[in-house]
Amino acid sequence: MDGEFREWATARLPALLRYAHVLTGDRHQAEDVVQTAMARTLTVWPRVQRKDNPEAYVRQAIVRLVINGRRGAWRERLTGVVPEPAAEPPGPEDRLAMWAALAELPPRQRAVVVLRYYEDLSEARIAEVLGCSPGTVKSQAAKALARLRTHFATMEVSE
Amino acid sequence: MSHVDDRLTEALHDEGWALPVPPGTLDAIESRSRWMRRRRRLGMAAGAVAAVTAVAVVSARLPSGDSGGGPVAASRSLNTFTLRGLGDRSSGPVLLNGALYIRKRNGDVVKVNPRSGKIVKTGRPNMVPMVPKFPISPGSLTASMFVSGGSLWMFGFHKRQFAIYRLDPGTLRTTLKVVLPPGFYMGLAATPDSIWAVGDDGRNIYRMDGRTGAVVGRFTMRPPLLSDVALVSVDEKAGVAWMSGLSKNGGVVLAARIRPGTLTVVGEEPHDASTVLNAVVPGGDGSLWAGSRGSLDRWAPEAAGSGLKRLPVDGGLASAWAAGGAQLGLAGGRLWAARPNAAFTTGSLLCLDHTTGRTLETYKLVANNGKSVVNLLPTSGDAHQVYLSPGRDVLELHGPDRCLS
Repeated sequence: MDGEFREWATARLPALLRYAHVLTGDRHQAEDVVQTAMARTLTVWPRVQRKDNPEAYVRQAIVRLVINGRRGAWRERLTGVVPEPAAEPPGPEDRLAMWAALAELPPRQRAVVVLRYYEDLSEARIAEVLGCSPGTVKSQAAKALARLRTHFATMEVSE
Repeated sequence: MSHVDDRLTEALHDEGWALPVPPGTLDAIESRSRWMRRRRRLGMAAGAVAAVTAVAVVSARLPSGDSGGGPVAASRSLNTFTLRGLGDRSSGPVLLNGALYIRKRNGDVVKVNPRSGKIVKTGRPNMVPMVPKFPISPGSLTASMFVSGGSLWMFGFHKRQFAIYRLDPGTLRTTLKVVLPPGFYMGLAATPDSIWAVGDDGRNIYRMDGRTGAVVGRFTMRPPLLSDVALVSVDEKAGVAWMSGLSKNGGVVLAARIRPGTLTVVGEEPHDASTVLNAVVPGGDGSLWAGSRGSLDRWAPEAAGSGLKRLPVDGGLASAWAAGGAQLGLAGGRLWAARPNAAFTTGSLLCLDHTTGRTLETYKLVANNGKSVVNLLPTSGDAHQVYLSPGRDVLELHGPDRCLS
């Protein structure tokens, strides 16, 4: 294995695993998609390293693997593994309820939510990552929030 | 931000999502990468295509539709239609009973009405399509979907097994799965009636009925190649099978006579089929076109005894090939040579006589909106029209002209 890739991968794997975990809600699926995305990156490492931001490349690969994965199998698991809260945040019940609500979202809607609220990407950038139009991103976000709204009585749709 | 936004942001940034890195992850990544590289060697065409987008074939009567950019006037009559929902990357199309079938990168198969240019059906076979080293049937380019016995098939991989899957052309559902005999398959060869398969160890060859997938013939190759064996084509009428692989002399293409129970090698020529993309194409008369860097040869088995003879190649085609960057394909019973320019902004598509390589017709291809032209070769067709699909556009070239009737 290329030494530079190994060094880079060692440094970034924790963040990438966490990212995939947020996207999938499932630890094993997260490990699998990260391994696949990193393996693909390794096959084209010289090009990626030279021209692109490797991190962005891998994160995009992870998102697309999650969305294009076996949707049927994903839907069979209505709730993923809910992580233990690390500290004592206010309202843990709310946090767990949000995780459970996220787990019920279809892969693409969840990806849009994660890219917007975790990665803080713009609509245009999300569209680029997902390979769809900004209009689709907007409609997926609206559908996701509408679903989440059903769990929380005071939820408002953000612009 | 609204209340929901705050709660979402908090939930997603919670430290509880952090995962430890499992031991051995880097080794697992390296192992998968090696496997992907091996798969990529099986289908260089799929891995080499990048940024394939809209291409407009120039025509005085071309409706540009959503392609954007004005077409340049030329002299061919043709249709082009843009398929929505196809995505930037796909393979195909395959022509069966007047409909086009395209496999999307995400595994969906779509059925297209070429008269309306619309997708009329979408299906998702439950398998991983395998990209073969050579086109499975003439004109299919390097893709996993093919036609044999009047049926639509896909070559795939599922639960650690190589298999062929027959799809219902109407519903696009899998109606039959035929697991191939144990082995690693770099591809298949399909004829109008049969599907041929050889494991990469080159020892046993199987012939399956093109309609049912039942094994109807078993052959032993004599002498066997060392490794990396792939079927290039089978000409049942001429009784010749062409293969590539590694012999004790290195990378070769070889011809074998089909006899009961055996495929007897009659001759081989040095040729590393992995170095040049889309350069090995059956000649339709039991011969083989084999291009390498700088030269294009045509081989045929000697009529009697063993050995291969070199056949003449049209001077114009030879020169075009020697200039570099060209690719060969087969569709509609015609040989096609595609040549993008150095900047991949334009290209020429030559329709050639199948046996001599003489140029019958030339088409000029121009990219829209400054995007690249790649994948210029037709992937399917008949004597009247052929189809090529470099991206979202599906282009139909039809006669009458000096190439297509």
